[in-house]
Amino acid sequence: MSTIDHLRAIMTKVARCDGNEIGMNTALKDVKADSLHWLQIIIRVESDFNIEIDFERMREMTSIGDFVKYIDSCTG
Amino acid sequence: MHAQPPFMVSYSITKKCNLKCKHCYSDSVDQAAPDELSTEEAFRLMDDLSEWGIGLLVIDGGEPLCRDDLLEVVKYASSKELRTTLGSNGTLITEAIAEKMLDAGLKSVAISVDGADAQTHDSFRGLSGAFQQALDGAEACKNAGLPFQFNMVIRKDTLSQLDDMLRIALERGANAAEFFDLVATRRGKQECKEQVLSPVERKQAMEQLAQSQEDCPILIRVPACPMYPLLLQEKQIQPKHFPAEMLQRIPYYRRGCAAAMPMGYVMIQANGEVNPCMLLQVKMGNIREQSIASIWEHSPAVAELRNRELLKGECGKCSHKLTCSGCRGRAYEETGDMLAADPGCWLPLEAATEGAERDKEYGKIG
Repeated sequence: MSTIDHLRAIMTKVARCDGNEIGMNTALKDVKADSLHWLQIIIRVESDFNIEIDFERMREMTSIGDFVKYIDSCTG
Repeated sequence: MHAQPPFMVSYSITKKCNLKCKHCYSDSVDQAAPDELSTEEAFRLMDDLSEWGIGLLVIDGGEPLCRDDLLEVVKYASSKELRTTLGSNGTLITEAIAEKMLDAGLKSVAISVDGADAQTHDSFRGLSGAFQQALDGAEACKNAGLPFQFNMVIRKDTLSQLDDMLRIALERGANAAEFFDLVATRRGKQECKEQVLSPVERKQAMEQLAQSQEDCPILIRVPACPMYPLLLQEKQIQPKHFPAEMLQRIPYYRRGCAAAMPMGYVMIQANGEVNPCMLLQVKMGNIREQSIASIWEHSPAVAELRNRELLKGECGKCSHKLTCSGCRGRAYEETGDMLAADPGCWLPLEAATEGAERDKEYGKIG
């Protein structure tokens, strides 16, 4: 499964986001998830990809595509 | 992009309380403070929290049920899709009130139970009969279908009661048990400082709770002790009743003290003052002067707190500083410096003991 598909699956399950609304160009601010959902998404991503997300780096991200690239960079 | 907002915000809606607890971190009394946010101001705060994307709001106090407009505020918060919960001493909750809170959209209540028996609880909470009233409040929630958890303070007087306190939570139908590691702040400094655990006692209590989690069907959380998740990991605790990954949902599980941290926690006092934590009452700003999101982004106090490289002493040298960082509230209350080493941590003592033993061994060899 590609990273974007995996992330979409997590976001759909954890935050009940509409998977059709999550693409590489989707702005993070447009994702319909509150702060508790985001925490759960992060925990799930860290667990599934076996990575540790740097919140400081997250500040620089504006889109789902940025998030996907960051995950890929962590997993090598 | 801004710093990630906290996953949880607590709002002490009033300083008025019908009890006089020895450890009260808000110095609550039997009168509301004259400068508390009005209903309209509380509504505006709910608007801001909703717009900010906050997932979880805890309304506490004082005793929140002492405030006449509580249900209005809960209803308004819920209408803004804020998952709203209440922190209460439970003594004023009847079944009718529990039903009204449920109707207003409240998701759950945390009821304080600070001992396994009436004497322990009542002497700490300053009212004879408070223990039974708290249990009655829990029963009322249960009957109304309003989920509840028990919040319990660990201190010297309750060290030997942890198993019984957990048993009571289970028997009464609580869906979680939150054991607060006592930090003496505000009134606590005058009235129960001697009740604060020593590092050795703290470790024993945490080991006991971690072990209890294996058989316990509900989640045990331990605020004010970010070393607790280290024990869960070290002992590889595997709960029998739910997936181990549930433990990772404890927000400070991998990142330590949550006070004012991205995706962590922040507290708003009754007068609008914002603090990193109820136990770390350093002023970040006031929502009457600046939006909560702006305070979160620009407070100089927060910038320091978020930089774990600035931690001092043993916490600064510790290999767990990114995943634990010690309780910043305890460091502040006991040393006056929120970046100082957590004086309640047992790890430096163990390291010193191990070092002494190593020296002894080398001495023998030499």
